[in-house]
Amino acid sequence: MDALAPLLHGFGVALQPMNLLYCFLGVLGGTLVGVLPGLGPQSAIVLLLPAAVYLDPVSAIIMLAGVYYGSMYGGSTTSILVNIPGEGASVVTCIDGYQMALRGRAGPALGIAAFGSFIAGTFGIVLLTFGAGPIGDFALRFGPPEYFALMCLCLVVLISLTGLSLRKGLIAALAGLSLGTVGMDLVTGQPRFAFGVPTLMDGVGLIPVIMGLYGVTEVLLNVEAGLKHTLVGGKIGNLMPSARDWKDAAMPIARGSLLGSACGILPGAGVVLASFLSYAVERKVSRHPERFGKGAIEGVAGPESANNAAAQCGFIPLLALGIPSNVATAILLGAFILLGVQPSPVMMMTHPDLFWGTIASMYVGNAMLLVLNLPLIGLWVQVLRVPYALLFPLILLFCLLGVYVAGRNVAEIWIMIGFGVIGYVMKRTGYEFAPLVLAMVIAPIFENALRQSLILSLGDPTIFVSRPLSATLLALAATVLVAQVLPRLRALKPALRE
Amino acid sequence: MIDTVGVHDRATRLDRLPANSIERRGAAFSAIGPAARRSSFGLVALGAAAFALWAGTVGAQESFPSKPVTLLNPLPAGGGVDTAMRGLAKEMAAILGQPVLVESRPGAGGTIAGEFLAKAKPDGYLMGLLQSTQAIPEIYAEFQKPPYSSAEISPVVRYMSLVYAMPSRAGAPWKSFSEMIAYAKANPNKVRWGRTVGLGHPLHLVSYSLMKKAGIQVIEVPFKGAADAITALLGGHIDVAFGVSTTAIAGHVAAGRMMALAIHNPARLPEMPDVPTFKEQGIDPGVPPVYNTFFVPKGTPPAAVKVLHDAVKKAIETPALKEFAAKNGILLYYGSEADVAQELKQDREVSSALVAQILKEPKKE
Amino acid sequence: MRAGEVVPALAWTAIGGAICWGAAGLGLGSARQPGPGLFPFVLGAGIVLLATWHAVANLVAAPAEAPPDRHANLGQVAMVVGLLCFFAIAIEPAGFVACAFVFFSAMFRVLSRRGWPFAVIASALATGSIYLLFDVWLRVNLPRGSWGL
Repeated sequence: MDALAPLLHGFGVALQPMNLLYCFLGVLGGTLVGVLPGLGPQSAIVLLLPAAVYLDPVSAIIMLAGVYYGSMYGGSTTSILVNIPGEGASVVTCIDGYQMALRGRAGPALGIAAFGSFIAGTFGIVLLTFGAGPIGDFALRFGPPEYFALMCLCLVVLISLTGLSLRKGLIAALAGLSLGTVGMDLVTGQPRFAFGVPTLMDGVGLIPVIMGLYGVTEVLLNVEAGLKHTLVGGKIGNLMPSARDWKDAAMPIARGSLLGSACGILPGAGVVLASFLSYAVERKVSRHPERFGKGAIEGVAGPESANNAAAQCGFIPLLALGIPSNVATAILLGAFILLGVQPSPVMMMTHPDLFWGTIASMYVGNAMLLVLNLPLIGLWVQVLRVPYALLFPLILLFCLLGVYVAGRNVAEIWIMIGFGVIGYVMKRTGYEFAPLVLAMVIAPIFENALRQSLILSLGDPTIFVSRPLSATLLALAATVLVAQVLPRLRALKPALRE
Repeated sequence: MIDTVGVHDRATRLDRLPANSIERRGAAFSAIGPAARRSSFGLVALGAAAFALWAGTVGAQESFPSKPVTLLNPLPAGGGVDTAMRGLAKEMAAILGQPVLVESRPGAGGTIAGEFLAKAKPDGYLMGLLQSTQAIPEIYAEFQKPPYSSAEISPVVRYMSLVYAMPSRAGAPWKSFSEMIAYAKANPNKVRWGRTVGLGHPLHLVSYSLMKKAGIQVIEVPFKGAADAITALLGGHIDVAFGVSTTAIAGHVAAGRMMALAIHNPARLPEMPDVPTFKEQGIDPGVPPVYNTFFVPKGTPPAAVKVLHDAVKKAIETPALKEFAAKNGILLYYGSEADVAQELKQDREVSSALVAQILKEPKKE
Repeated sequence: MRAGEVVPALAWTAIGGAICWGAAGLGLGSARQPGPGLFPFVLGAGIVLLATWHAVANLVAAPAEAPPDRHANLGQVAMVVGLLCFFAIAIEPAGFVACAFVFFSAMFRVLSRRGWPFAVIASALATGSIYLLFDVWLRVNLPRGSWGL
């Protein structure tokens, strides 16, 4: 517990009035960009960066870090209220969160998301405080073969995300994996499925796809079905989770915290995977899996906890090793360097104020987020009373702007519109999006790790089983696969006999 | 050549005389006279002077800039180049008396921004900071078909250079670049060599040239970016990597988790005095260091080009920008139009030859 | 036969086939040295296989009850898509303010079925507040048309 004394010193830094103010501004800004669909933490950090240069480095980092983890709180709000995720990590929250809202339980859904986020976020910071060094070193043991094995495990878990029809779910997943292969080939540099469009050389962006599939499609479906006056007719129940909700959500929050932390420490795995995996796990272990997709609070509590734990633990490789785990933390790393600090294992010695001050500010920031978000719930649920005809044009415009502003690239808007139409057709024909989105995230990591491994081993496939860590993960994947497929095959048998 | 530059300088100084005055035209022509006689580049000198004169009259119609100037960044916002551009924008705004904005249009290795610049209105209000891939896109056409050509843009001034290093994992059986090469020669297909960029990228050309000139056979592992390669190096999954900026590894080197074997630059860096250049270690990759040069669309009035050039040059000389650059590990590297032309020529020759050589390699499938 | 399942499944088969065709052209390589096309080829083949299976399974299945007809507002759906396309085309040449105002006016008019005065006032308010939020407060520098806004 030799981290206690420096942590206290860190609180001394974080609780200075100016730092408290910047921490508050950061988490407030983060919540806001999280709520706005399409605007992610990376856009927000980039927007604030020029101003941050003029601040004291400690205040600047406290603020930018606050934007990042604050955005994880806000992301779920639109998922729950209007079925449109604020960013990638909240895609899976749409499934049950929106169903809860339709059943008049938007308040408890938002509440449990906020509490779960707070608990998991704090858990992540505790890990960061006491275990950053050793955990970071463990994460480094993941080389290409280990990432390949981990992605195999994710692919297997993906199967359980498929809804009623296994075949249709798998088709959507394969389509998502195929989408993930678009762009310049890592090994040979050849463009794949780019059709001469420069934007597609970098692959299909996740944000335009999500905004298209969820944002645009949702509006199109609602327009087609004929306009209701408001989303939820009349009844909006109580705002806070009940005792029963708490009982249902306690274990998912705990599991989500652990799972999210594990995903967060691995560079590249990240918050999107964490939330999806948590949802799949919750549905698997639940005694009432049939409630999922119909407003199960576990389906909100687990993923929302997982993505916050992952976001906080993403700071472990960043602060302990100087390794960014996603685009947003890469920009944060740039901010560190811009402010004259290179995160590295020696940072806690060379810049104790910055290192411990930032960590302490996260405890403070998380508490602020909880206090900030709980009163906002009352405000957010009023969004449900806004006439549909006013709400949806606004949401569409936020999607359009969010997608455009990130890279000032009109081609991204076209991708979003394209996926809006594709999503509309898919929904009408009964194909799910969730497997597609997750598969799209997995595909490049999976393929690159596979090919890097085979290059490293000069084509010898035993590299995957000769390394203990990757062998263990592969064995785990095989076990989960058998556990998944067996019951489905058993269910198939009587059907075939008929 | 010296004479031409002299005339150009003299002629441009005349810009400050009232426009269309007889003295002014006379002065410009009398300036050409002796230069043309003395120099074997007479025609060039005449051209340059006529150019300057025309520039003078165009500039007189409207004082440039009369509205905000935008600096276009082909790389993602929030990165090192973005930072360097924001530092410059602040100084330029003070010099030009107009706001200077920085706008990022990242994607497709910068060609999205390159195309945007090439197709923009040539009025001098948009200036892009391009690197080799965007400045001479036709070199790389075999890897990525460019939507524009270098004939559609023209250089203004070189602003900075990025220095890339070859880090090695700590605990590797070598202490220097030349030792690593010797090890690789003795143990073919043993050294795991990370590549941080796509095939045919200028940094890959450096990496390729190093391997060919050293005559070594290594396991070349591609990564999706410098950060992934650094992670793999820290974990010991690869031995060396090329194409990592010096600022990204400085902390790891200081912490003893990595060694910096060599840098791709004509001279050592003051912040890393112990790290030699590739040339010092006996292998010169021949590819020019990564340059960041401002370009405008072809057809931009020369007066505007000159104002922009002078503003960047002046900004580079301000103590404020110098201090900002030193603090952020930015290597300011002014280059005049002539320097840039020379550099582009060298880049075109060397890089085209290397690309042709890479394309001749048997395809690994 | 369930046409509602068979037709999309056949479309997926075609998509899978196209992916295979494109991937084969990229170079498949071998299992030990996968080329750029191998992974997409396997994926395309998987789609073809599953989609064909799904199509066949539903060809033989008993027809399901006809779903309720929801095609009432297809015209409005096309209108929304059209407006999104308009935004993508107009945002850079016309600038944000003009573009968003037209977008909102048409949307409010079509979706709310209230008169033009309502649509125009609501659009002006919405455009103005988003402009303030992004351009003034967040300093995003939204695209401007030739008239400076």
